[in-house]
Amino acid sequence: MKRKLFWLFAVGLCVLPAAADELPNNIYFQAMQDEMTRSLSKLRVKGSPKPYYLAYQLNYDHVYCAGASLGELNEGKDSVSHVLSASVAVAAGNGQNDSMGFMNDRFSYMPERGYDVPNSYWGIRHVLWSLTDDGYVKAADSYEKKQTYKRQKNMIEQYPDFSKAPQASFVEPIAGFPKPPAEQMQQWVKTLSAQGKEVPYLENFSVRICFSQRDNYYLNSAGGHYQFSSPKSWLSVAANLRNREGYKEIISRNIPLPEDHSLIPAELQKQTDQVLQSARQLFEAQKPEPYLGPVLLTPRAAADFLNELLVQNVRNVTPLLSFLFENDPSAGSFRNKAGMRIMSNVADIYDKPLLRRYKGLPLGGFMPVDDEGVKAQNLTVVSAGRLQQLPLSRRSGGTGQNSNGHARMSFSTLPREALSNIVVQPKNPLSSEEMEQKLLDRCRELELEYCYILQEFPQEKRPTVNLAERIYTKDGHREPVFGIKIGEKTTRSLRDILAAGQEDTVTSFQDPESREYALIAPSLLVDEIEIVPDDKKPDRKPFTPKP
Amino acid sequence: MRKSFLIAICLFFAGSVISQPLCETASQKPVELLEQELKRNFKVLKKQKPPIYYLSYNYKEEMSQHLEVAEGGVSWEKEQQTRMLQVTARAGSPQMDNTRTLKLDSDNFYVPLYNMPDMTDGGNSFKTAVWRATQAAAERAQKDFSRVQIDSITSSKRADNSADFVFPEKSIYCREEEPLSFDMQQIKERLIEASKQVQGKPFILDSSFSFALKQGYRYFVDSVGSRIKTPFAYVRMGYQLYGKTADGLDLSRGEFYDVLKTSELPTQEAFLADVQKSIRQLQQLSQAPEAEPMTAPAILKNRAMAVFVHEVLGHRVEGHRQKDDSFGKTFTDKVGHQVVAPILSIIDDPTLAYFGGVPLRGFYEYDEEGVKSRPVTIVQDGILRNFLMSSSPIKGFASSNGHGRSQDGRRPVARMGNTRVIASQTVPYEQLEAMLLEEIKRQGKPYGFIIEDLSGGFTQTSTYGPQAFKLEPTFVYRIYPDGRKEAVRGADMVGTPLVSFNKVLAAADDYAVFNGTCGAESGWVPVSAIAPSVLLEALEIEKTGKSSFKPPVLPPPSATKQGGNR
Repeated sequence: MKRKLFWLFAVGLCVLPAAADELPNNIYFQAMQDEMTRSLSKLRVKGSPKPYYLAYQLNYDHVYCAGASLGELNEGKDSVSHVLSASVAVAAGNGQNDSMGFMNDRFSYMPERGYDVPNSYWGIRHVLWSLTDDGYVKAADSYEKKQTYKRQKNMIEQYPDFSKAPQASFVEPIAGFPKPPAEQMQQWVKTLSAQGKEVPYLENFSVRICFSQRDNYYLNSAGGHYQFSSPKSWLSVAANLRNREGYKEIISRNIPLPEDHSLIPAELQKQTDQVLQSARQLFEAQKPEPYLGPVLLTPRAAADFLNELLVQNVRNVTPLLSFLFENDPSAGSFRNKAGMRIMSNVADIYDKPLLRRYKGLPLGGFMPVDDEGVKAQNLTVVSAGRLQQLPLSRRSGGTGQNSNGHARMSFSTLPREALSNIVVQPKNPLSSEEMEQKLLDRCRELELEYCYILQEFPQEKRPTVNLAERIYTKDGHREPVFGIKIGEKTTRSLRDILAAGQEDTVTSFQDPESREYALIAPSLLVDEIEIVPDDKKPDRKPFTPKP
Repeated sequence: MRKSFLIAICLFFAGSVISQPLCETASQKPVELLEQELKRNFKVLKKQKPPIYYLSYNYKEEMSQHLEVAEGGVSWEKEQQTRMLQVTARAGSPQMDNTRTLKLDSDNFYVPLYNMPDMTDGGNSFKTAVWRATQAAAERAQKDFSRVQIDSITSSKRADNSADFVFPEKSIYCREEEPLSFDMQQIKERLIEASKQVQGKPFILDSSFSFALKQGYRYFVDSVGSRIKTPFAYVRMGYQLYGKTADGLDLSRGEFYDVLKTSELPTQEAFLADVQKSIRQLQQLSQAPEAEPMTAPAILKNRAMAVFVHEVLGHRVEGHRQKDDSFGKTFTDKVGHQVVAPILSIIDDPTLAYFGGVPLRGFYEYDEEGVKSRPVTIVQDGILRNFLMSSSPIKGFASSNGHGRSQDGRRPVARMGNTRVIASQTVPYEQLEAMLLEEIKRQGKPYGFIIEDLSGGFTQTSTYGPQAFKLEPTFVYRIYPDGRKEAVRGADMVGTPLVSFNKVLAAADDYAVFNGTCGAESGWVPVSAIAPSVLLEALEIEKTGKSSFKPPVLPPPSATKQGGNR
């Protein structure tokens, strides 16, 4: 009997997370810890390796939105929505040789995911139990297949699959979601959207304001954990119109608002006015002629440009193994370019996961501890035009490097390397007037009649219009242009950046794995971009006029 | 004597409960605004090439409350108000229009649904939204019609060349109802208490307890001149418990309560008793022997019979299935012929709001095409008399009988409402069981079956497969010649419609309601079916397919209750 008790006690010591004493005292951590302890000690299928590592993530999302179209509410009388969801990562085997980093089939490199989790201790445990069980069965299967793959490919391991790393924690008290000022929000969206009524060419003008808060809870079996909330609010403005040339187009803007959920009427009005101004430009705009030459990217267009050509190529730096492919299509193409020149020496680029807000706006990549329990570190991504540091996880050990706390998980991927808050820091920032002058100077040098200023960097599948302006070298006057495409997008353009501006903006993105991050970018002058008209055709006139 | 008594009982239990006063259609703001836009647009659209020859607006204002609970916690809670518009534009002519199914395009039932603004400013932004939706619908109809025209050139001759559309009669109707109100806090507490009943039961792998309320008004305005406002309300409380056997068979038990008033909800004592009964049944099933394939006499209990009629016969008498050559047309040429046992008559009557004190989900006053609902005798004394009709005529049935139904965002087709099975001769249920035992002995079978409950199933109506059905009973007993009953698991009912309905030997007098939601081309619609228990001379049972996944390795955490005092 004594011997039995000893073993029970010993097992208990092994499976309890190392930092258990410091865990926050709430049902989320109690449920995560208790189910994790049970699973690690008891979950086992005969003949299969046991689970050796578990990570649980709970997200409690609270959202309230009010929306209006042409002065009338079309959303806003609903209650606040509260949704608790859970993600579970299970690794079977051991740190040297485990089940992760292997894609079993097209959809399998995902955590186990549960939505609408009952918000009670037993409800949370029930969902975690179910997800852990499913995850373990799949992990055991992946483990066997991965071993077969390694044998077939004659892979000799020098480094562990999952390296050891000191585990960190970050705990902040979580305040409840504040009661949204529903009536005030409803009044504002009505007032702002009513401005569209006076514009004859607008077929619709809609405004939406949302308040949200995500409460994050994370615990892994090595003791890493975090608890913090991410409040957010944003304004969405959309204008539908048929322009002079008969094209049905949509202009849509999502504008982040301060995280304290304060409504600043003047700011809301300013942002709405800008969309109305863009709509007016679009109404009068013409299609472009093919163009090859210098282009000035406004901060928002520059963020799109850098996101597509740089950030998307600096993610998932440790390729997955799979029988499905030889080269992992989701792995960033810059992963082998550390030390190489990838950009002109106009700006340095940093990744700052610990930066929580910028100019009062919340940053979506804030991450004090990563999703493998490692303290997140700031990175110098690009310096002197060369790629310096890549985001690394505990699975980047194949190169002998240690994690720098950049493993990020989402509902569509298990933890993999990703950037968080990307900050572009120009070396010699120019004012907007200087940027425009530099553009005109370069155009004159190339003997061009006009150059382009892009407000959006065109994306293939974006449903909204791509708006730009031509600026004429002769007198500097501007003409609006719509319906543009980039002839050929190439990372070569990063080396063609001539200058960067002083004013910057925060833009939020999600990568293809649905991980949110922020990009703080100034305007950029790029020496050569090819612009061509898109293939869209004009639409017929409405059968009847707008009432 | 039994027959007349039964009719009296039916009349007593079944009633069109429309107690609220009628209202003035013209004074309804949505009707007024929709009418203005319809007139303004239709005047121009009907002159286009191809013309938009018919235009209608379905506008719905809905308030919904949803609550889901499990393991003592709320998993989903939401109160929502929506205003949605669906525009129907028909291009071409009634003989051939844009709605005809193309030979290589089996699904053209989706229709855009527009989120509508409020109308506090006199309705200007509402009218602008109607105008935008109308333009889009007209453009889409014209585009679809050109595809239909091209398709018709290369298509083989249709067996039924009836027109694509018949204009509905003009209807003016307006009715309002007091909004329903439920104490959501009290309901939440009730569900939380009930959800804790499953804890400590290792064979219950998952559970869900829910309450859903939807209510509001439907408005219908069309180019024929119909102007309709009708209320709707659906309230459902219920639960589902799930289990799995070691050999991979999924099990479930549950109950739903459809009500319209708080007083119609079961008492908490009765509710908890039902949950306990389901827990016992799930445990019984998890330990029960597996069914063996066999043909034997059987009783289909009332609610199981209701589902059986809905699935096996009901879908086959939907009008559009007699017209489209991709369907099997089991009953198309059987009008005037016996198709079921002569003791049975089958009526679809959407005008019934209640039966036996139970609200019927298949109740509606006007269908989604603005046609007044009415009872339709499908089968009389075993002989097929009618089909359920939408505004798509078929050979011999030129007009709608108010069964054009759809979920929001889909184009209506003929669907069931409240399908009632009426037996001309009935016996008490106990006698029906005695007759089953006699039949088992007469046929020399080792046992027969009692199908307590059906969850649903599918019935194959397309020509690509056999005209057969497969239904999934959730609780089945074997009954031995000595009257002993034994629960079995993993039994599916299979058969063909023409044979199965002629095997009905007798019916009981225990009519009961099955309330459900039926899915087909035009989406999910609320339906009801009412039937007595029946004795079948033979029912074919086959084994249910099993999942290749084992049950979870560990028992549910609440079954062990290890984790301290949480």
